[in-house]
Amino acid sequence: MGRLTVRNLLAHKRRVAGLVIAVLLGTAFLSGALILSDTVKSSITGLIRDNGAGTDVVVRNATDVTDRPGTDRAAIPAGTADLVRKVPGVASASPVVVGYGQLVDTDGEMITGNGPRIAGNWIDDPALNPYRLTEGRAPQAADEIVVDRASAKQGGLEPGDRITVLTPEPVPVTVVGIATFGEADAFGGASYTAFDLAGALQHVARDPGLISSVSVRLAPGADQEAAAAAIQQVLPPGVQAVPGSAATQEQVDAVSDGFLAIFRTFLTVFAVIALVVAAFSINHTFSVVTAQRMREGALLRALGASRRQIRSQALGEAALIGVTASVLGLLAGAGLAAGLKAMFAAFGFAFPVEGLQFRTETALIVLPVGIVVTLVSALIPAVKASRVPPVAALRDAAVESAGVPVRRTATGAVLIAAGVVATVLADGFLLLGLGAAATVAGVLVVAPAVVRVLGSALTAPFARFGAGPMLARGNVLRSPRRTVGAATAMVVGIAVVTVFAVFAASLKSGAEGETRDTLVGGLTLGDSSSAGWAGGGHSPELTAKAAEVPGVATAVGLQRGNLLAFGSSRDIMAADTARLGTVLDLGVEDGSVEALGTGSIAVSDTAADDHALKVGSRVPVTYPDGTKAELTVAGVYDRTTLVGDYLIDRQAWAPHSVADLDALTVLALAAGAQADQVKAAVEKVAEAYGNPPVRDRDGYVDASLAMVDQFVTIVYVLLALALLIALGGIANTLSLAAHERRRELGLLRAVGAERGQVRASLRWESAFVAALGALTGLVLGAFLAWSAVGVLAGSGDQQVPVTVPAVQLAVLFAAGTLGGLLAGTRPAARAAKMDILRAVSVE
Amino acid sequence: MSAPLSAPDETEDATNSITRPGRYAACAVHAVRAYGTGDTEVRALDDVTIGFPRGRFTAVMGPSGSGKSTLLHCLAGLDTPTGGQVFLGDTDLGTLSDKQLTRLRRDRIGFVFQAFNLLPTLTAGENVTLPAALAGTRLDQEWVDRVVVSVGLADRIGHRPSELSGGQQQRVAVARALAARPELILADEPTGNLDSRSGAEVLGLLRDAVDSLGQTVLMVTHDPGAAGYADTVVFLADGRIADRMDAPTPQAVLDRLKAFERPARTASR
Repeated sequence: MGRLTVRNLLAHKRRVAGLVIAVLLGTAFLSGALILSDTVKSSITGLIRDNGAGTDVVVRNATDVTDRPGTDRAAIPAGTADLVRKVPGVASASPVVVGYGQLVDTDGEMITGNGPRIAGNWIDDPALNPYRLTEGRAPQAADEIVVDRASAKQGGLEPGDRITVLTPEPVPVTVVGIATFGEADAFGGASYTAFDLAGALQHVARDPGLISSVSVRLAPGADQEAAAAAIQQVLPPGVQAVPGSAATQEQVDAVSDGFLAIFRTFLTVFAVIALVVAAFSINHTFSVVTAQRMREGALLRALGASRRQIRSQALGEAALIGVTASVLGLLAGAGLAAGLKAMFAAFGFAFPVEGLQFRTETALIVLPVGIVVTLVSALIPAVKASRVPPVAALRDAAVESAGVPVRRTATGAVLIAAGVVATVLADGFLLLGLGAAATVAGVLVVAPAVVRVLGSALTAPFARFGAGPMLARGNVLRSPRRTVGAATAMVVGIAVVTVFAVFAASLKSGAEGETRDTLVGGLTLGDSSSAGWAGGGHSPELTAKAAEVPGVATAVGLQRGNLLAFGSSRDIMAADTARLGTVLDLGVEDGSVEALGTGSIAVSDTAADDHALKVGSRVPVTYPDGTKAELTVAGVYDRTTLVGDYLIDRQAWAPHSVADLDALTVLALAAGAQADQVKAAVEKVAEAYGNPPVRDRDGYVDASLAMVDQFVTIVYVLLALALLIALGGIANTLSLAAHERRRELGLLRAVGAERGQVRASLRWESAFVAALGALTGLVLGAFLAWSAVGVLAGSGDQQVPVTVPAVQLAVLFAAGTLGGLLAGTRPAARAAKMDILRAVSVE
Repeated sequence: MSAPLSAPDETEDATNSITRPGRYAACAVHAVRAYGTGDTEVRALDDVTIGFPRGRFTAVMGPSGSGKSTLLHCLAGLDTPTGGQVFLGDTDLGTLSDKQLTRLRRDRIGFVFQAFNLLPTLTAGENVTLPAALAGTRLDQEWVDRVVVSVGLADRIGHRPSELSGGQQQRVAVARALAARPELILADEPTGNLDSRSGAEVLGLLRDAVDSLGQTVLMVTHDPGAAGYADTVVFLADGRIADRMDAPTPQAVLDRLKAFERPARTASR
């Protein structure tokens, strides 16, 4: 039987191609996702290792309040470097200042990038400095800087240019040199501005007496561990010495566990969605192929082959196809990874990546997954095929039953009912998930009966458009089960997209409403999105100046930071809480969020629930500089879109913070002031600070949602791949169907159908199948999203109105249908070319 | 289309002389259909000149591989002669494009095949009017009803082919061929898959179409019984016209066929 398996595959190239393509599409995405995340990981960790390569020991603040890599430790005394230098075995010790430095080009515009804006001091010891000068020289005065080549290119900077650096106060400087990070233009997406040490202490450090860390180079052959221990002996309390390799590893781990893990999970989720969609497509393709081969199997049975032999022959073929297609999918994944990389770059998330990282693990994941999915998909059709009595199959080629068993429909109806009840009543995600699964399964089970009734009604109006749609309609309705099989991948794909679309739209409109409610001040200054990068923002000096602009009643700066509470790092917002109420309405539920002073904290109701807090609760915290304090909860608030979950007063924050930087300033207008005039006046003041945007409430809401939109777009693109797989499946089964119906098509041509009409009939059929699938998916997805939003709203106190994005969904439906039409093009063209004589001649 | 034609060779078959193709419903003039070239060339039609008069029922007979199906396919515009000409009325099929041939089949020819005559997704009634639907035109409903009644399917009109017997399916095919009132009805072994009673019904319908409607029918068959329904039987052998017989009886046809019996040829069509 083994030889027969191989012969069979070779004899039916088209069927095999169809199956291989179905499996290939599914595995390629998985492979691509893994390759891309490995590539990004290796390149990012590579950058980090390069950065720390020459540093043998790092001396730094012992307190770490953030799980973000490489930033946010508080400062240490500048004199520490001198102490370290005296330790035996230390060859060189350079004080390192790291802080915020936004470059402003010669036109007064900020040079924006895709990473933190870093400023610091140029380190003369090349072993400790990962940057290399490519042009000009090192800074020798407090107003001279070296910039990274990427920023120089972007801002058109050359040595000799007079520009401004916002640290965050505007500092006039002269560019004297341009440097690369090793061979690369920049350290990933980060910009780098290096002053000399005096300049860095004066402009970048929070206090000229404080530095960020000390980088130490040891005499050749010295042991990092031992040296670190020796250095530790001379250090003041709160300062630690760690071996360079350990410090680097910490950063690598932080990135790997943080961003990279999220990125990998994110991609994997979509890969799994694609694989599920592909599995439906593979399963259907196998069903069709198996039905076509019933006769063959029956002949073998009649000649004495056992059921098991028939079954193992089918599974043997599936295994061969699974292996071949998975290997091809693995390779295709490399291409897909390159494409995804380009897509992320197009959306402004460029990865500092060269080439692609292909690890053995990828193959060890993709190949078994592809093969197992193929085998499982092939199993049911194979078992069905082996059950056909030999005589039945020999008698008639059309073994596939056109009927829809009542029992099947009844089972489906029960499943749907149970699913819907569970979904609607669900108050947690477990019940919701079970309900959703039952609903989806029920819909797929009941679908053939629905196609028979609803599909017939929905396609009827098109039958008048000519012979093409009329014939297509007949073919869609001839075997409702097959139609459903062909459309299932589409149903699942569109349902997933719809769930996401409704979910995203609902969350967005929820966030939009909340932002509007929160923002009672008339204007904002600064860019909320830049705050996403550690340390983005502008100088409090600008906030103070804005407060003096005529027509401005209050200007309150919001500072972002981190501190340790409840055992891990917490994002906090610090503000002048005495006046915060004039610009923001946080929806206070209990107590007060005003005038928190140095001993109080306000928390969101979510945080209050999570940590069992109420007004009067004591919260022990550790500030970035290592200071421990106990804060009292003064108030609990509802609206978190602007301030997050923890709010403290500036007075409490300022002495311990890493940087003095306002992420956003909110302005309240004086009574009678003209918003337009005030806005223009504030913009004028902001000119000297690199023109941070000034926005009214609508403008701020739009800008803050733009980030969300971008993320949503990326998700759409990734989900579109799943839809492509579904469309590929439709095309695939259509071409199999055309092959199967070649005699009918021949008859049609013989009695006078033009090629165009044959083509049209197949394209209409494809569009009908896609449209029916898309419609079902839309309804299903909308229902599931509605339930999910309900559960989400029930679990928190956030008001999340269910928003159905009608336009997006209409576009989705149109895209699905049009995609179906396009998917039918090739099979239709091939079918129209078929030889009439061969088709009508009796075999 | 109506280019003047030279008179075909009248000496070859004087009784079948063709002076003007338009006189016939269809005709072949020195038609050759060859496959392969050189030593391997096989001629399915070897210089066939024949006309099929209007309003007559002609049967084409011959052993397997004699070229009878090829002749039918060429007359239908489904196959193209490699030499000579084929006419439907005074239309030279060789001058038509694929699209024009398709329309000619749709508008001017009716088909009855041996099997698989009907689209399984359409009802009997829809199959009858299929060529008109493809043309985007409507047939005279009264006429269609008459045809359906005449083939005895009035109560089966809404059924799908899978719900009809083989004989009923062939009668639907005959109704389809009649409904469009074509110039020529081509039947390729129409009774080949039927039992004798159903076969007799179908042949009776074709006979009746000629007698009462004045249709022209050309039927390929190897059944002497079926040939007995025709006005004329034309015998083909080795791609050439071997003989003809007017007012045939099954026995006479059977006797004539026996004379052709010889070792089977390997090549067909």
